[in-house]
Amino acid sequence: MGMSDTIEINDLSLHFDGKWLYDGFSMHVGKGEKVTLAGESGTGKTTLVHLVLGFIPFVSGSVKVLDRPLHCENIEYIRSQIAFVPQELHLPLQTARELFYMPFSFRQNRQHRPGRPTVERTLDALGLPAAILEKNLDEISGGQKQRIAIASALLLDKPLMILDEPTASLDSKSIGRLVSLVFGENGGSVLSTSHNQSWTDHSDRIYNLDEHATNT
Amino acid sequence: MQQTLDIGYLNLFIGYLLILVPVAIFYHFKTGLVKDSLIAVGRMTLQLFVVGLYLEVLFEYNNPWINALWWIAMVLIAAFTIIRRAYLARRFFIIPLITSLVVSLALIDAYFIGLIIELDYFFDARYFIPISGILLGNCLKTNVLGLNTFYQKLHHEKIRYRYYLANGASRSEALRPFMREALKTAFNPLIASITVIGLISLPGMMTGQILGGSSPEVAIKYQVMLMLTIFVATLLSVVLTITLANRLVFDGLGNMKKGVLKNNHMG
Repeated sequence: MGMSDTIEINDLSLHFDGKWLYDGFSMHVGKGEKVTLAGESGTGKTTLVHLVLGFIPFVSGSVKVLDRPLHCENIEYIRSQIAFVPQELHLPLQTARELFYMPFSFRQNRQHRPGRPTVERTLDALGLPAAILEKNLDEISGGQKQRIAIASALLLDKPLMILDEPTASLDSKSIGRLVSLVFGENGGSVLSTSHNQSWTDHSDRIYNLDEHATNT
Repeated sequence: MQQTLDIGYLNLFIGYLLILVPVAIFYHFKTGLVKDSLIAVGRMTLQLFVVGLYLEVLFEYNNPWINALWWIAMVLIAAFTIIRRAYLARRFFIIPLITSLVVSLALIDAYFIGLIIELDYFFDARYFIPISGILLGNCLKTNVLGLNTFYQKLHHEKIRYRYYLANGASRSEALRPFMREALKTAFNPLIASITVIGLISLPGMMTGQILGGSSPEVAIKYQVMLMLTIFVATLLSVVLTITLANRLVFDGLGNMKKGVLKNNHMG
């Protein structure tokens, strides 16, 4: 663990939904590292991801993101440096184009709004035709929606990308594409949750939460 | 001015027989609404007669302090009713609601009674009490709809709110879509009723004024102003309540605190 860790969690204890989820858990994500949280469902992978984003309070321990403690006064800065794609995303939007450009509508991200060629290249790298942006959201699958959101997250160009179950609704070919784009061409740090073999194989480090969770 | 014809108590009783129609229909379809209907009519009768007695007193004394006190009592009752009906926790919402109702109602009362009607005696019970009452009744409806939509959506669509925040949205940017949806839900019915007013519905106040002997022209002017002031007062109060309450219902990390919504409406 060094000064330039993107995420640093020390001796974390977390009480969630009436039970102890972690007691004395530590992990870190170095700068540019791709780290995956693996484990059975119910071990709190998503909970941990939401904790790093400041959405879940912890009882004791310390959490630092981008060298800043996860506190109220830093939270806006921390979140401004992150791109996040949840497993399932239901936004009251009409078209895939609106979904793609949604994060770029925030003041923080406006200057990153990509041009058409960049968007098309990124979608293509994820196996999506450019024309998909013209479709209504009810015409495309959950996996396609998630890939559109991931394309958008990649182009936000943040130092830290957090992906919750990016492989859950993808076939192996799509996972291969996603691996090379997220792990290969992207210099930022990535924290993800997945139990897909080819995803974990390409990760720099894996934390298997089965071993850490205090399952009762 | 022509006096409205009084209704004799025997005739009123005959009027009450109308309730037998819904009772028979509800009973036939086993809706379980018979008891509720009878209680509702009973409460209405009791409340209106009590209010009638109060109003007699208010009109007789026509004292600014008594009238203002009545106004404050109405605001308090409205605030508590909104909180209960929108399934919200009193400790987070009572101060924001009272503040926003007082501010929006005072502003719009001043505008309507002081500036438009140009009443010399601002607290005159004949104007001050019914106008404030109608405004407040409408604030009640829209606040219940607006607050309920806003906080229930935030609770049930947590992932969406988190998605906005975790991708760099400021707190107000992340809340804006929820505000938009709450305003749509709360104001669609009002806008619809303004659109068809006079066509398929003759509004209560206008009907009352005409029955009371006013010319239709005067009644129409009042009704137009009333609809406009209802529109503005309700909108101001909903936006102000949510804005003020949001200072209390979120923690430092932007998460909605536990216990903001009443448990019986969660899940």
